[in-house]
Amino acid sequence: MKRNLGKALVVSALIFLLGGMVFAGGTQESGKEEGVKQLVYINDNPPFERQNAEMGKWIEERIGIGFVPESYPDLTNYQTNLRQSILSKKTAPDFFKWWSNYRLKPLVDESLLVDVSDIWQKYFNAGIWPESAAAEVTFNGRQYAVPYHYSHWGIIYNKGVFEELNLDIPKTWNEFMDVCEKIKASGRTPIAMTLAGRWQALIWWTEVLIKTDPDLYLGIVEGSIEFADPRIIKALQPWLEVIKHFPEDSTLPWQEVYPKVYSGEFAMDLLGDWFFTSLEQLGADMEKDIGWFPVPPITAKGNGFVFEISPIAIPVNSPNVEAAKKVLDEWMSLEGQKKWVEIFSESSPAGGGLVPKKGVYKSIEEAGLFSDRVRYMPRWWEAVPVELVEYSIDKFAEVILDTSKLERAMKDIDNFRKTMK
Amino acid sequence: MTVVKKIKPYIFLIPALVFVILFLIYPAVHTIIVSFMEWNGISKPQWIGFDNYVHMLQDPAFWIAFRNTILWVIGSILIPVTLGLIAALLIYMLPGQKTIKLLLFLPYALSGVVISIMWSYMYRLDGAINGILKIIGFVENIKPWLQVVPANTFAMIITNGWRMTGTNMVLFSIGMQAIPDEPIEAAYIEGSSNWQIMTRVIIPMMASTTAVVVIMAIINGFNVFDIVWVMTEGGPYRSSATLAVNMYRESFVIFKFGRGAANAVTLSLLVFVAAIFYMRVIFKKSRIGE
Amino acid sequence: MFIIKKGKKIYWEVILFSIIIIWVAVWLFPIWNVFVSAMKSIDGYISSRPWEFSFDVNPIIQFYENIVRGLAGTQRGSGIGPAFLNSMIYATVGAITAIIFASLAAYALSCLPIKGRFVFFLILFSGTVFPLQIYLIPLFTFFQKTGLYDTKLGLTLAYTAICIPFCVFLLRNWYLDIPKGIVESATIDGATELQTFWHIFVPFSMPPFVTLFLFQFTWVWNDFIFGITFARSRTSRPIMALLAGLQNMYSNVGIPAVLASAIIASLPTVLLLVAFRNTFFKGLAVQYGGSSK
Repeated sequence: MKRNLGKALVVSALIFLLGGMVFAGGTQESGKEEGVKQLVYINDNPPFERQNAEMGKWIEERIGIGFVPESYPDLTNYQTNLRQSILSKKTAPDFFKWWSNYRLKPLVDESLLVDVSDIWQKYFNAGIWPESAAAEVTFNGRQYAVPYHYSHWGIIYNKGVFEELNLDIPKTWNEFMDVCEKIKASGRTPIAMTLAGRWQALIWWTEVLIKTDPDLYLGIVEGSIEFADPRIIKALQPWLEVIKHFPEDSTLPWQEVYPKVYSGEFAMDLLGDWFFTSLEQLGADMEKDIGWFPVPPITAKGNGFVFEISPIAIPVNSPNVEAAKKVLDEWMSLEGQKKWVEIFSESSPAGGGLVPKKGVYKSIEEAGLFSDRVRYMPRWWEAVPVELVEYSIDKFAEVILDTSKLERAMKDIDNFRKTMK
Repeated sequence: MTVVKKIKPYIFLIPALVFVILFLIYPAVHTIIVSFMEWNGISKPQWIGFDNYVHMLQDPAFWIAFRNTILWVIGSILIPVTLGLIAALLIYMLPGQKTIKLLLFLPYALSGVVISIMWSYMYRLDGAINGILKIIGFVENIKPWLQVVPANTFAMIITNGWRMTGTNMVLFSIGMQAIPDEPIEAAYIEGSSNWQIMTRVIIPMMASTTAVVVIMAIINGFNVFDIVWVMTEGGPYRSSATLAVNMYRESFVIFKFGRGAANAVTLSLLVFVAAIFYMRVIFKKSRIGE
Repeated sequence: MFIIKKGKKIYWEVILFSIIIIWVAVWLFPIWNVFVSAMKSIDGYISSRPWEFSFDVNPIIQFYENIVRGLAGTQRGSGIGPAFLNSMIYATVGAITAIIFASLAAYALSCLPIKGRFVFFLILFSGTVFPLQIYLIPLFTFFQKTGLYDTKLGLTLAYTAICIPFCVFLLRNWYLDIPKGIVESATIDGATELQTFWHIFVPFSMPPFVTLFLFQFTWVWNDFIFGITFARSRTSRPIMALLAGLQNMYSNVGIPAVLASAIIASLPTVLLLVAFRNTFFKGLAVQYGGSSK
């Protein structure tokens, strides 16, 4: 009797374990190309999940294949895990958001991404997309990604604060610094910044350089000018002034920073115009609550604008390469871009430049951002090799927390660059 | 028949051996090999000899992490071991405080992630620590604790102290329960004071427990990862990184697997030295020769 | 067993008791903050002190809402709900499988005729010595090649493996205490090794099995580094990896919901601890002290 009970126990334990293992192993579904209706779009943008989902549905209505977004909030792990998942057929997503240029290059070098030049070619020929729009995703003359969004850097500010303090939009650098001082005197933090997540440390470093002289910045990107070059150190002095207006606590995660811009606790934030979407989601009115102006030039030469393109790529190991290509083709079409601009409230270079019909974008248009007067600069994040970016942003953060370290930090980055292969 | 009989006992070993060799020993050996290679996880690995180690030793960030790791080891000994001993003594003198014991031990059940989330909000500029400082009048000491160097490392070491004190207290408590009554009674009859009994009788008898607790604190101090990773990611500017964090960063953030492996091997060597002492103690107790 | 002299006993007890009460209060303060903050709305969190209740909304209702928000997330499956189930599988299956395999091995190592048993023991035991960092890179690539990356099976296997060495160590100590005579007489009665194991060792092993299960379950449940390294998607990420993501840069559930999720994520291990506290205390002595009693 006892024996049987014991055996029964063992058997049930084994069944339980086996069941667990099978359940554990069996949940991995591999999609099938035929008759697939919905793809999964993996990205690191939880704040844009609603917009992405809307776009997925819209495309599905038009071509019968759509997508649902799946987003991850954790930048570091997103990069690690994505890089690894696209290596195998079992784990590769249908398509995914990535970064352009140097961040894209290692994946292209190892032939992990689908060549989408034919899609681009179609729209080049039709005159819908300018060839310049593809520069950041082109390697050896072929394109390996399509644009998710284009973004221009500018100051997004809280109109309530400006009205309350009777501030005008600054047109010169001195006026800008003056505005900062006045906001600070009112007990608010003039400029939002967070070092959590690390990358934002590069924002003002870049901006100050390109508003002084875009060629200096490009020289650093190309390696023809050193970080510790006296011209650079001199050009970076305004950066040190800006740093004084950052929040005292720079450890807040982004999810807590942007509500403070909406509430006025932080008056201004320099970011790409994707930031509007986040503010809109908090309930901000893009006419009344939020304004936009470009960072004023520091010298007459300073006509640079940082311009970021976030690409979407299809892994070679994607279970649904053809369906994914169809979806991205539709996304890039003129109707697709019009819809996207409407949903996402961001501009697009397609069709000669599409701009959302919303208040804040008028100022962007007025700033001449879509004209030839400005020079577009690549964002530091993807403009140089990842290793250098990672090293330099830590050094930038060090300067932000202690401005006396500027020269030392720039020298360190130079030394680091020399040791790179 | 005899052959079968001879082989049979080994069959019992197979499942465990397969798991351990496949998932632990092979990876450990492979990591040592990778530490001599240049490899980004996607490309073909290339043998580069000791370059990774040379690079590591020349990297100032390694030495910052090394210094922090040593701070962690010292902090893990000083704070939770001392506090754990004191708590155990208090409970020893106040019998029947099972609930108190349980409450102090509660952090053991919490994960490093939960503890880090809990404490990172406390350390912020608008967090509880600064709130208390304001109330008791230390207004000029208010700061974002996880941003200021070296306060960030100390703050996290304190968090770890909060986490580990209960564990050490339980260990000391168990050790104290095993102390025989006679020496204490003898000292009591001789007219020793409470303090003398505590310092001359009880604490010396805790020597072997203390040894184990200290060695474990050292090993835990070397291995700390989750608290640092969740609270600061080793930042700002790598100022609060430890060796374990550096290893993770080199491998899984900038994809220099070779350098990450070199870090992992170095860390393992350090831990191994501490582990030898640990093994000597527990093997002695567990009659390993039999 | 008092060491306090009789005359001053009460006086001392009051002082010591006050010290320990204050100590416990300090120790529970962070946990109190978490509970209070988890009952606030986002606005309430910003406008009130961390340790004070905020009554701009009903705290109980808000607590419930924050939990739901944490479990479900703000978008498709970004909450910790699915991860809770994943971790349940890893912790239970990993711990039980490890205990079964380890007890078989410990039995062989302690009672069966095996040549070089100490070498085998050292091989199995070596897994407790090294930091987890040394396993990460090769396991990562190994999982990638075999398709185990980002699967429940892969993580379950990894967790099982990491639990085995300590189980072997503890069970072997336990089995060394079984009198040799019992094993010999069972063999003379014609029992096979498996029968001896099953009828003599297993019933005798229930206490260490329970202890081991509790500790390994807690370990796997609370693990972070394997979770963030070996899994990406929501179908396989364990709970702590997801929880850490919830408070990350671009998450948007809000602090109160993050803290409510942290409470939910801690429930299983805390409940186990409260229910089995004495087993935990004793087990800890074994784990650190190596004594098998």
